[in-house]
Amino acid sequence: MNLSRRNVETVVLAVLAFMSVLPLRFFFENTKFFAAEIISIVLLTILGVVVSRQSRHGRLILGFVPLVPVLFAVLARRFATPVAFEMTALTVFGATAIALSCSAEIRRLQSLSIVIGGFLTLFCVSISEQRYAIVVPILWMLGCIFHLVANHWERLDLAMPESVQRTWALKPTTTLATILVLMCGGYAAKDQFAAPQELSVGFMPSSGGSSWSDPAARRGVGTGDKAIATKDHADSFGAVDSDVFLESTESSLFDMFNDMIGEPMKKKKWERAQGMANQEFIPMHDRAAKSEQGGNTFSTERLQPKGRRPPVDSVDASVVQWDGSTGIRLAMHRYDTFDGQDWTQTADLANEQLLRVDIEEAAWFFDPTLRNVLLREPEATSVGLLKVIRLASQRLPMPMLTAGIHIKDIDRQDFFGISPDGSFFMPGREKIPPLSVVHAASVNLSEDEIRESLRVNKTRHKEPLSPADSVTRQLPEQASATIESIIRAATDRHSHPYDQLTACVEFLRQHGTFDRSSGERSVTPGDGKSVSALAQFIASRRGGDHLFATTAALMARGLGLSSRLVTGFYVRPDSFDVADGHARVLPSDVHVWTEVRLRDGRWFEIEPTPGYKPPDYRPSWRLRARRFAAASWPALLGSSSVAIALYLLRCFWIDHLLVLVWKFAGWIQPQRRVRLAMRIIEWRARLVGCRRPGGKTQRAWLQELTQGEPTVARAAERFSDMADALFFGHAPSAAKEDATRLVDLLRVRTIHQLTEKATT
Amino acid sequence: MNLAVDPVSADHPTQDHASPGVTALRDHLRSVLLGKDRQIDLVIACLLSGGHLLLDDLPGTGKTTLAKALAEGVQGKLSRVQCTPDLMPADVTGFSMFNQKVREFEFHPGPVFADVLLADELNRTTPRTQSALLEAMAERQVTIDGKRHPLSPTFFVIATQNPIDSHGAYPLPEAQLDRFSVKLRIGYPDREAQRQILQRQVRAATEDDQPNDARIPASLSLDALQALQRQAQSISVHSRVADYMIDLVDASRADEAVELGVSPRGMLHWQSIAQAWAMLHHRDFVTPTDVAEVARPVLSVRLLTRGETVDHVIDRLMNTVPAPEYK
Repeated sequence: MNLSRRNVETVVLAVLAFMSVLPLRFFFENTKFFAAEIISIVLLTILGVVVSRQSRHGRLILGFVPLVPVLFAVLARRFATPVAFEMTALTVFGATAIALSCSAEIRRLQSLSIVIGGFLTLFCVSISEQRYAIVVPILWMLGCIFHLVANHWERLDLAMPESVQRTWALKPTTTLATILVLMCGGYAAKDQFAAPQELSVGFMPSSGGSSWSDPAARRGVGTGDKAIATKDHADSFGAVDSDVFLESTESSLFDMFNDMIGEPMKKKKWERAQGMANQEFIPMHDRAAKSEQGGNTFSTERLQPKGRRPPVDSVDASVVQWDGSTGIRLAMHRYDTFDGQDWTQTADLANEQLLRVDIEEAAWFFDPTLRNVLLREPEATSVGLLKVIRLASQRLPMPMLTAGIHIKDIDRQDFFGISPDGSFFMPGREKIPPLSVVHAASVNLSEDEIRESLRVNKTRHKEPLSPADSVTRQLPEQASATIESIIRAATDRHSHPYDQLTACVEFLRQHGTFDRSSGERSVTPGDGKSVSALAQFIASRRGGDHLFATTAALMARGLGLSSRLVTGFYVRPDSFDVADGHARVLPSDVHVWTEVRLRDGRWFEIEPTPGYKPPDYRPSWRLRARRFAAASWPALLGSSSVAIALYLLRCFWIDHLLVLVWKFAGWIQPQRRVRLAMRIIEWRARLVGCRRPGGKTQRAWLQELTQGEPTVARAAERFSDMADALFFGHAPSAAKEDATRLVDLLRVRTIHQLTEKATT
Repeated sequence: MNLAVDPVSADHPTQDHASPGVTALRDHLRSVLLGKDRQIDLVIACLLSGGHLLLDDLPGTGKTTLAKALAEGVQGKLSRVQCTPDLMPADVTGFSMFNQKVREFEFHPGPVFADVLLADELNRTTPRTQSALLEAMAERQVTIDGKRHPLSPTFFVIATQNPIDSHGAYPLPEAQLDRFSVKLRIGYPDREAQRQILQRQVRAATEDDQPNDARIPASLSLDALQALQRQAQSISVHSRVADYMIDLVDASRADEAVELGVSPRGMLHWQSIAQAWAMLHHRDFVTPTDVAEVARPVLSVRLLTRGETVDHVIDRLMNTVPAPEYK
């Protein structure tokens, strides 16, 4: 094989294409067998290449390379984990591409190798579930573009209008432009691959089957389990097939909080109520207890959790399953009033009327206010699917700013309700029917919107509900002083309320320690006074997420913003099971966080608890650019000044650089030396915009360039004579000084003067 | 490609050690035809390559003067044919006539039996007569009554044609054109040369019987010319230079505006001219610059274009096909 650049590029592209198959197989097969197969392919290819240098048998050996995967597939089915048919086929494709690229001396076969490699790369990324699989085809495309440009750029050059004198070089410019286009395209398409799009019907030969149809059939994309589940329940996205589970008890959010962060403390007011008549006290107690369990109150004062854990008798321990973006929060209860110890909810489950909208024959029920936002920005929506497994609540855990919900085949308006605080629920039920799949369309919020809305909010009016002093007054003096000092630090450093809020949240995230077990009220031995859990948390910065959330809510109020406490579930970023196609939300994922109100009535989340992923409010390009410019303007200014200076002085420093290069070129062979001399002169000429046209011979170009200056012209002529004799004649070597003289004479400035003279 | 650049050797006419005869011939022609150094070099290159020359120019630009001077320069015999519509092939090639005295046919050679033949306004004669020149030009022989008559080994045809007044003209067929090595336009002389021409005529009248000092006598014999022609053929052509020529020829055939590209015969002519050009410039090898510098006169005689002028197509070809570099 001739190791030309063209051949090397083809081999590299083929190897890259082959590598795109490897991740599809590595994690699913017997590692030893797989490694043996790959090593065999590599060794056989190397052997083929080495032998083909001596004899024609090498090609015969290379011809066997594509058969290796087939052989190993047969062996693996007999002795180890079977290899899926389609994977064998893809590996055969890859091996063929490598064999062709190594054996081909005919250009058409090389092209065939590239075509096969391209197909393989694109196909593998299309069936891959890895987010970063896109990197391989991008790399392959870059390589391919470079290969095409490098080998066919002369044709491109010929296609350019000959009357136009270009001062830029075609080859690097085209490659650079392609890289830029690919990068922009890749960036634009980046988010498309964030969530794997599940295929309900597999298009690969053995996918969509299960082990009874083919032992190598995989779970995952379009697996048999999913196919069956889809058949039985059109909207099902996960298999819940445990009878044990179905019989297990369903706990409410209240129970889960009790399990995870402890039960609420017994209140003193009950002690005071002992004076009441028994018949009055008992109904009142019942009412209060019910209201607590129903979630109308959330106490920050809690006992240590008893270490009770949900039963482990189920295959699927999920409370709910979620198919959508992860790292988010699913809200159930919202509390807007805080008395220093307990959060309460002023709004009850008032069944506000939802707006019914039929979208593609599906009945959706929308929050009227958010529906308008959706109509305005239809692209700012994301739809997630929620499946309630065992949650004893009529409230639906929904992401922030859920605008509408939909359950298949349910089109009755009275099945759904929304409370004034934006929580969706199903009126008149004890709980959501288990295994119902609820589609939730939520509105995405950008950082720009938050900033815009908060600014106006601040300047227009202060929320009468939550003046800072009324909140902190209920806390011990030291705690309120700490909060106020943090708020003051934030307001001193930042002018915008959002930045102030973020600074407060960041303070909590950075300086706080998340520890659910340390939230118990303690009694100071000195004066016997009890210290509230919140005050203790503010002092020690250690506690459960409910204390973080409460503190953050108080800080937000301190900044003049309306805030409320939210309880619900956190969908862990790592909870998404690719094979099952959904994220599992477990009882341990109960979580408390904070929401802040925008001017238009919408509420957005903040996440003050460390360890939980903060909500992602994407800033617009404009905001990002502005922020970047503001943050790094000295560097930007400096670098752009340097860039401008470098550009303006390019003739000077490149010229000197070339002189330096020439000085070190004394030891190279005469032919290379003359070639370098000519290149240096051409680079210099290019700097002053005097590029040699490809059709002009170097001698003629030098003559034309130097005709205005007899001394230089004579040197150029001598150089050309010497170079012509060296390259096209019979001269064995070149006279060193001829080349040196011309390179010394034809500096950038001289060329500039010569061209100026020629034009005038 | 800027062909107006003077060849390097123009500045060093006296350094021609390899072929002093060529220098003498060049000086002689330059002394006759003023201000046309490049054209003269091309004419000499054409002569050294063993090809024939087509002059495509206006009347009175020195075509006949050049032919005469050339014949004189190589000390050869000049004959001239004024091509008219009634000119017969026999008027050019010669004919056999029965001699009553010796009672056998006698061959009367035509004007082709000369060292330099000037066929004036070749496009005015009939295709039949034009094609009679074909054999003479290509084979350097004529066949009359089945008998071959070899021509002078240095037989050189200078044909002229008038680009204007094409009424009643017979355009030369492509086969005929391809037998010419180069097509040249002498063009009007520049101001300085015209002043010298005027002064020369006045001097000639006043110095009536005196020999004309301005004219340099020729010193190249026909034998020396033949030797030089053989020497020119032996000039080496590097494979990269040959590839360059092939690329240009291929490009001429692939060009959409070209109806008839360069034939292999045309390519051979091109190489011969480039070799002669290299020899004129004191080199024993051909450079890409030689190929490029003789491209226009070589290509303009044999490219048939549609929708574009030949000059424009040649410009495009020479600008787009990459020339071999020093590497």
